[in-house]
Amino acid sequence: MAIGRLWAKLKRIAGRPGEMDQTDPLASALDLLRSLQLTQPGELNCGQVYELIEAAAEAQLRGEPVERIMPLIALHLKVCPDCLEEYEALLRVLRSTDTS
Amino acid sequence: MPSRTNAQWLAELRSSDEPERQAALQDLHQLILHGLPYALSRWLPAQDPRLEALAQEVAQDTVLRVIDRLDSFEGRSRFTTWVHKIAIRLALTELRRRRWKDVSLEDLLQGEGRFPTPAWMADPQTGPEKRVERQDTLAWLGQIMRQELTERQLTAMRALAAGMPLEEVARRMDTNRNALYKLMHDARLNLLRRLSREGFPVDEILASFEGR
Repeated sequence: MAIGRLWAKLKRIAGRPGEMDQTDPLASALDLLRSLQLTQPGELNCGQVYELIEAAAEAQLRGEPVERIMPLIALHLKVCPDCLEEYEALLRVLRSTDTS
Repeated sequence: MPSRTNAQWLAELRSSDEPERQAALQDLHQLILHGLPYALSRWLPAQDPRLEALAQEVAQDTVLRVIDRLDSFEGRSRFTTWVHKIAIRLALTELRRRRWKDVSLEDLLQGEGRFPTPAWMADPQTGPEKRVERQDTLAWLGQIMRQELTERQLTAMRALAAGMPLEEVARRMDTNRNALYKLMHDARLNLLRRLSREGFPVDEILASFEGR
């Protein structure tokens, strides 16, 4: 999650010792700020997205942009790497196999 | 494998005709085994010997779960897409667990000093004024985070920052993925409110990081 990556990076700058700093703090700060730009009060959680993600994947493969027809799903996928991984894995299966 | 409609899948998996039901179960198992290598291609290449064992294990578990949850299928997609979704969740949960099984939160959040100076700080193309400005902004953001967020939120953020999946962070914090997502969502809302109170729209802060 983008917001998550910032904290460890800021530790070094802000002077709290003994903590990890693996990536570029600027890149992480940008990730955080971009995730804040996307933040809405009524976001779906992972469970709610899980209930709809197969319909979203099929819609995307029919050429219907998820951003347009399921904007809250699209938003969640931008800020939740676990759900995005699962969504992309599902797209790969649907693209590669005849599931009828 | 015969092509089936959603209704046919459901009927045959519920059938009292045992040969018909067994045939549907076998096809379901094959469908999952066929899909998993595509689903997992970013984690396990097709020639990886671990893939076959994992796929067999996941296919078996998925069939059991699908049968158990047959009544919850609402027909929003093809039945087979719903099945693949369940298989993918089971497979990735297992892969994430394996990948992170030896890493505790304590281990993950230690190690200061092991990593080099961030590239942007060493980039000679970044002017000194811009570097100072960025450092100040980052320090300010860090201060705001410590003021606005709970220890639990900060711990989760740090673990996610180190690349641990949400699911694994949740397991280590004795919570679940939904609750952890909400925790992070609340954190983002808190930060947004604070930035708004401070009079610094996110767009403006982002702009301050642009360019060299």
